[in-house]
Amino acid sequence: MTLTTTTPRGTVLDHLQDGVALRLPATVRVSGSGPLIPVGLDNGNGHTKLALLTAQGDLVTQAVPTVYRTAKEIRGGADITSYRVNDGTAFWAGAEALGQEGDSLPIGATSERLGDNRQRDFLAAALVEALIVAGYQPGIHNLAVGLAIPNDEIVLKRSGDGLGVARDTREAIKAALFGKTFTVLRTSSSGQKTSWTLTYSTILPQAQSIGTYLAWSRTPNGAAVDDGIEALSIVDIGTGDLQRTDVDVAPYRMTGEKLGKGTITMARQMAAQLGDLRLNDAQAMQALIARTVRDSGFRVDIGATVDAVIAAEGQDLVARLLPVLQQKSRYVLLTGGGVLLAGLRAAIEERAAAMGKAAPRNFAFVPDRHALTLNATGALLAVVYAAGGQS
Amino acid sequence: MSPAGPRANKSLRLAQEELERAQRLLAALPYASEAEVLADAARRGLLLIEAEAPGADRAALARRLRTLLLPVFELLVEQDALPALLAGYRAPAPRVEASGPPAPPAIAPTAAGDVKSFGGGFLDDDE
Repeated sequence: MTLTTTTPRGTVLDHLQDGVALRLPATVRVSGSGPLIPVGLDNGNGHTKLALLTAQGDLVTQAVPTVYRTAKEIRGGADITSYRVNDGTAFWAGAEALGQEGDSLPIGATSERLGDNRQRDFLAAALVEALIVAGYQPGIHNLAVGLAIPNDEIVLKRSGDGLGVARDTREAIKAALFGKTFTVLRTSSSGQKTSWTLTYSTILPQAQSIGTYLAWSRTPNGAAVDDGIEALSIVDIGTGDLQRTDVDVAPYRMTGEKLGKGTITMARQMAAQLGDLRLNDAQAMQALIARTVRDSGFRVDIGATVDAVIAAEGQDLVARLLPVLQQKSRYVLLTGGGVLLAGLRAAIEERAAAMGKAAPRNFAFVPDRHALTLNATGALLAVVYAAGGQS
Repeated sequence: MSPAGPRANKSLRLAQEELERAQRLLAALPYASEAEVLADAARRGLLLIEAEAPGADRAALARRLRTLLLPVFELLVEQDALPALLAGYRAPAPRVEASGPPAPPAIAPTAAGDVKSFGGGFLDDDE
């Protein structure tokens, strides 16, 4: 299946949709290094997304709520998986932390976020969980990490010859992660302790939306699918931001623009309506997607409230992306966690239909199953492609 | 394959560890959703429990369980953990040369340059 026609294009996204193995190399070598495990990491405001490969080269993806909570002692019943990074404070992370009223880590530019040691520790914990799902055992793991960064942190180089990473971002990555080792002591819910030593042996920063572009336009071995596409706009409906990225194919060119806040506005409005529950940002985002919330210990359906908030607040977000849908020179690809909100997606489709636009001819949504994680998958692809297949 | 017929919604209370297991299975196997994992777990689990129940159609149940349990038996044989009850029935496993997964395809020579075109590239110490 393909997004623009019914003829299979053989892209990475087509493979993922059809359940066909990518068969990418499970390790890469960079500049004469030993074997490194390639990883795609998209440290989003709402969720941190990871993509990596099993030893057999099969893709594994994870979306972990970017939530952190200092661990407390559980006096009875099932315990919670906890982490201690480089002998630091024990903490909970992700969905389990969310269930224990953990809060979102601060959002902002890469340089601000990586300056927070909780953020760095959280990333280490998330990497451990992803390695476990991919079948890796505790021990020493050297990583080649494709790091998806905000599109506006890829800028024109001062030398003028092409695009590169903004200076603040580059320096923050080097100070916080590049070449750094994080030793994670993981204590499972059953009390089993394992030790994981992770090194960011090399890092490849890449604009977030280019990850989606690579997965949409490349076959697994990195060849561009030549189906005549000349220009594309990617609309990424994220938690913190709504972003537009325009890609020209020949010659390659990328420009980007923030179109304002993302779905966090709707989440906060919903939290205000459910005032008694005192939902923090992380809980509100989760509730917006899941359409349920915990009230006095019981899980309650809040679908009607979610629909009403999206109907009211979602129109502002739709209005901000309308110009992208209205223009006629580019194909439009919509992605990000926002496409998981049924009401928002329906509103976009309705406005597009009113303009005479139809899917898949003029635009497409990245399928739900991949909308959250495709940027991370693309960051993984970038590592494998940039390493040139050396394994 | 699930039985035909109308469906009824039932809620479950699961421990966190069980939820985590379901999420790992969702990531590792071609299920469409966590709900599908749990529904399949329930269907398979009911058949397993039925083996302990009186009055079941033993012959029909045995036919269904035989297929269902094949991956379990393979795991037990691989880990040399077959129960004593079955050990006496186990034929010596044939020697199979491990062929390993097929080699990944060669990366296109243009791929690295494409990544660079969009500002991507490995950080270098001296940059």
